[in-house]
Amino acid sequence: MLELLPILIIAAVATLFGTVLLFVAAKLKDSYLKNTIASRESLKEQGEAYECGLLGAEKKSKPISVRYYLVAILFILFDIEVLYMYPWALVYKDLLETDALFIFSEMMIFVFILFFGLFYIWKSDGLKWE
Amino acid sequence: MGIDFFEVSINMVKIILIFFAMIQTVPVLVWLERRGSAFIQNRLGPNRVGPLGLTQLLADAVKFFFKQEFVPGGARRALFYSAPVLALVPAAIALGAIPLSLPVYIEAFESSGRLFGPYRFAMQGYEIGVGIVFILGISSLATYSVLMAGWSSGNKYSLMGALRASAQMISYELSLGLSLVGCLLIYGTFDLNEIVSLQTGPLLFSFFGKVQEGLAFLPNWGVFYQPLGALLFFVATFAECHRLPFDLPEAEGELVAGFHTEYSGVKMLLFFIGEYGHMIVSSALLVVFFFGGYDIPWFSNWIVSSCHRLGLEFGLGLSLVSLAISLIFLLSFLLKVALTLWIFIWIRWSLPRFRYDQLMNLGWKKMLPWALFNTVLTAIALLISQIGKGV
Repeated sequence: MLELLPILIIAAVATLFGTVLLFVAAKLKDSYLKNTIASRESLKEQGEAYECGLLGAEKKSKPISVRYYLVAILFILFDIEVLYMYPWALVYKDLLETDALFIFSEMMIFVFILFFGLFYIWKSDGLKWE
Repeated sequence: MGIDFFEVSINMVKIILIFFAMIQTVPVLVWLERRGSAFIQNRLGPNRVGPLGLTQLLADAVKFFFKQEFVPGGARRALFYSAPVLALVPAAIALGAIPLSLPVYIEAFESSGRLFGPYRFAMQGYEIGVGIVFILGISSLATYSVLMAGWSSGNKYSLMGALRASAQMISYELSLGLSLVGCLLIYGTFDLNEIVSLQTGPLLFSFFGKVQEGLAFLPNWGVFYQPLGALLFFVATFAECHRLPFDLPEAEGELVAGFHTEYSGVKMLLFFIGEYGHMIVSSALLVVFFFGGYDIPWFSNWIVSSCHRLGLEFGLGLSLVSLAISLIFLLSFLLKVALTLWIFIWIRWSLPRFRYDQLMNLGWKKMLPWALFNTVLTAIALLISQIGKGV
């Protein structure tokens, strides 16, 4: 576990760096940059959501329907399958010397099913974007 | 982390140095991008502040602090502020796992009556055995900061940009992961250090179990074994970093600025650092997998041996010699990464943007099948060479 400590430290340093930067910017506004544009009061229009040069018609962001969830589901399916290929790739060379046809044909069957799945999604218009 | 005070403190300094090196590279990259794009478009670019406009970066930093600090009305404040901070983290962690150079060996020495044993400092933030799997996993976390930023802004442009960005990132992550499988088949390891050391020396391209002697003048780099994999990986990293021609999330003609429409000042700066950090990580990975990492083609052995000889001649300790070697190899790695980064910028200003359906079609209907094909092809080639060896 101890060898993973540096990862935690990097994450902490990065978070700290970002937070300190945001904090310093907020503090500077109240002290040294008091009479500059940085500390100006927000206008009423600035509180609104951004719109191109006019006030927005809607107050809150409405939920929008996207075909995004389908991509997400497909991604999870395929990503798990891709991950399954990683350990296979790791031992492939070693097993070639002892059991070449087994390790090769096993993965070819898997890849074939994967390909068939992709083809099926493709033909049933799962990969169609307007 | 280490066994005693000396080793722990050196490792800490190393980690923090790598992080700040990443932060410091960003302004240089921004300058390079603006200046380079200007020359590509027959303009001059920023050249007023300091020599060649180099201190423009400092001026920009000051500008970021002078910007008015405000939060839009519909925003969820906590998420709105944490998204840019979170954008930094994945890039920083991923960069720490990439080997930058050969390790430095420090001989045992005595200080204030205590003996400090021999040390070995790897030239990377931390060593991790599962290397590439970990890096891919961590860098995909960047999607979260994009989604958080887009959703918490309370603006439809931001939300659409964020949804586009995450759909694009997860689509291209498949090809990104699959394009490396061919490489892993050949190297048979997840450890980036081992992958780099396997790429030293002349090219050992074997065909039916026979090594092709005629190709020995080339370095033993992954790109010669996996040209298709290298191309797919390179294209997928563009989409992952949302750079042009894949910068659909920020298509300014349609979505103002995508997920960071509502961000200004320092918050914007943090997003910038995260994005360029991602670019640095992707270039470094490309170099590690396909261009020999910190290996110097043709001269690696010569440099190591001549450094040792010079060290003996001038009576330098082994620690100093290994430090010098490490720094030379670090320079080679940085040069390769810089070249790759320049190609990133070059392509940005050479190609037009894709349309969204073209982008998704490219990801799912072209790159994914090609990456699968590449994997199968590599497996068959390895099988054939195994059969050739058996005969």
